[in-house]
Amino acid sequence: MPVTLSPNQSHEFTVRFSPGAEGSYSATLTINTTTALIRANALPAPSILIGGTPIPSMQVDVAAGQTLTIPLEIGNPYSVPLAIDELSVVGSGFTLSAPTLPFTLAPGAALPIPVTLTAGAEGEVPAVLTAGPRRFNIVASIFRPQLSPPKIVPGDAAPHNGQQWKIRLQLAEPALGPGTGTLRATFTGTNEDPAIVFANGAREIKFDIAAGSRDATFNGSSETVLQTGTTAGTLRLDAITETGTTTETYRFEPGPVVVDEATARRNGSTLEVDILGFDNTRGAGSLNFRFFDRSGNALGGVITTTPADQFKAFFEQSTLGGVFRLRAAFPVTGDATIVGSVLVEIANAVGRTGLQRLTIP
Amino acid sequence: MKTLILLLAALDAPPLAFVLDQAGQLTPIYGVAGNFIPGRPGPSLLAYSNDGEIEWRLEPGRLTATRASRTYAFPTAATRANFRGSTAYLPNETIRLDDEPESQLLAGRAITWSEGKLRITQPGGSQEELTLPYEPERMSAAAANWAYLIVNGRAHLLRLTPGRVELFVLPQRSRE
Repeated sequence: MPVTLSPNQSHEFTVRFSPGAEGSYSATLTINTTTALIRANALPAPSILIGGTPIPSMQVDVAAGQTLTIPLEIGNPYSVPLAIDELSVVGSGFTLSAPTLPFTLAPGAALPIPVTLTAGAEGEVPAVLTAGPRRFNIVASIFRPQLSPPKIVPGDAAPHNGQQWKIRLQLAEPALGPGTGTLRATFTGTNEDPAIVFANGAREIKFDIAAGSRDATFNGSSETVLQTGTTAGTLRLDAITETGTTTETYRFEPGPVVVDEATARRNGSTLEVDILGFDNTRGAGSLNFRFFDRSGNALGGVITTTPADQFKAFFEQSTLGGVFRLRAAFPVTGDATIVGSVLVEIANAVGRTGLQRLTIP
Repeated sequence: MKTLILLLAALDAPPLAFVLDQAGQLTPIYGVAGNFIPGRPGPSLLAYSNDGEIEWRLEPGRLTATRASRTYAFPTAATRANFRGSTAYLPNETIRLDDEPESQLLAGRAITWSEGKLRITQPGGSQEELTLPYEPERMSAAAANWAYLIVNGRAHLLRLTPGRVELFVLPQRSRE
């Protein structure tokens, strides 16, 4: 003030009225030389409170599919009893838990009237809570919950080649709504390794997280299995959701040859040694064999062979990672039945692998 | 014994096992335990008999049975067969490799499931067991030391090597 109005200009202003009690009220509004009489009729209306504090209206945010309970109270702010004969809520998805009507609120008293919202589709949903003459507006903003990328929880923190590695995914907080994502494995090595796949036979697997849960499921199972292959290299895991990616990286170090199965047998006058295993360096180079009689006495010296070129040629054409099967045959001149066992060693650039003594039946 | 000479050191990577997948196709499984690579399904039907000693193979025009390194061939026009022990049941004939009683064994082992445990009785009589919450829906021999199991709708390979019994997930064959 003062305010100067140009011709045909208008100016908005507000008149606030807070009646102390029910009844008829009037006031005179004076603007320069113009006066106007304002009349108001105050009805005794309850107040709506939350946590003991009166509030004029309310806005809530809730995830689609979630159920939210708003802990509202109805209160009597007056010094005389207040009769309530109407209490209802109107709005899609809103329900009210109210005392039996009618009821009377003592001066200063308050009663809980929780309002529950079951959120449907995204968008804004209005509701009106009617408490006697009071109209209390509620607006719910329903949003689609977005899944944050979960943490990768490996069953074995230091995986290595040749494993079926169990992996779980876990959110820091329970999911507000259901969501999905993808767990992706990326392998970088000197060679590709087709054994590095999840149980679905692929390098990607879909996961789901149910509303209220922290744990991902893979086709209904709480964990997935990733084969770690037989090739040294680096494995990256990405847990991907629409809001981001969690990444973990693991290194499969070059190691000595791993033998999975080894057998020795006698085939007529020939002794045969069969070894199934893998060399994650794809560079096995030498083999030592030492035979023993049935009493455990060494028969001759160590027989050494260096089939590095054979291994090299084999791995150059192999598409199975570091897997190999080696079959060694030893023709025996003389009595082959005295041979009772054989010790085998196989070496690559990283080290030497000694097998348990193989018994020849 | 007078002389021991290394004559041959052959390197290859043959299938570790063969399974009839859930679509009924014979699939070779390459790799090593726990790192399986399902190969391309083949045209022939192959099964190990339940005593683990006979390898039956139904190929176009013939049925073969291999036991102890000896292969027996039976001409047939059949394109499907069921195998039980030393007997092959073809649509119009039954072929018995011998008159031995049919075995109730699987790859040479008795395998039973009860109360969440899978029990394997090895040929020597020793017993091993695994915790397995679900009863296998299907079990068949896949190689001399491997069995193929469907558990809770998912394919598995069970290693039967004495002292090293272990159940592995068998990944699906990747799409090519």
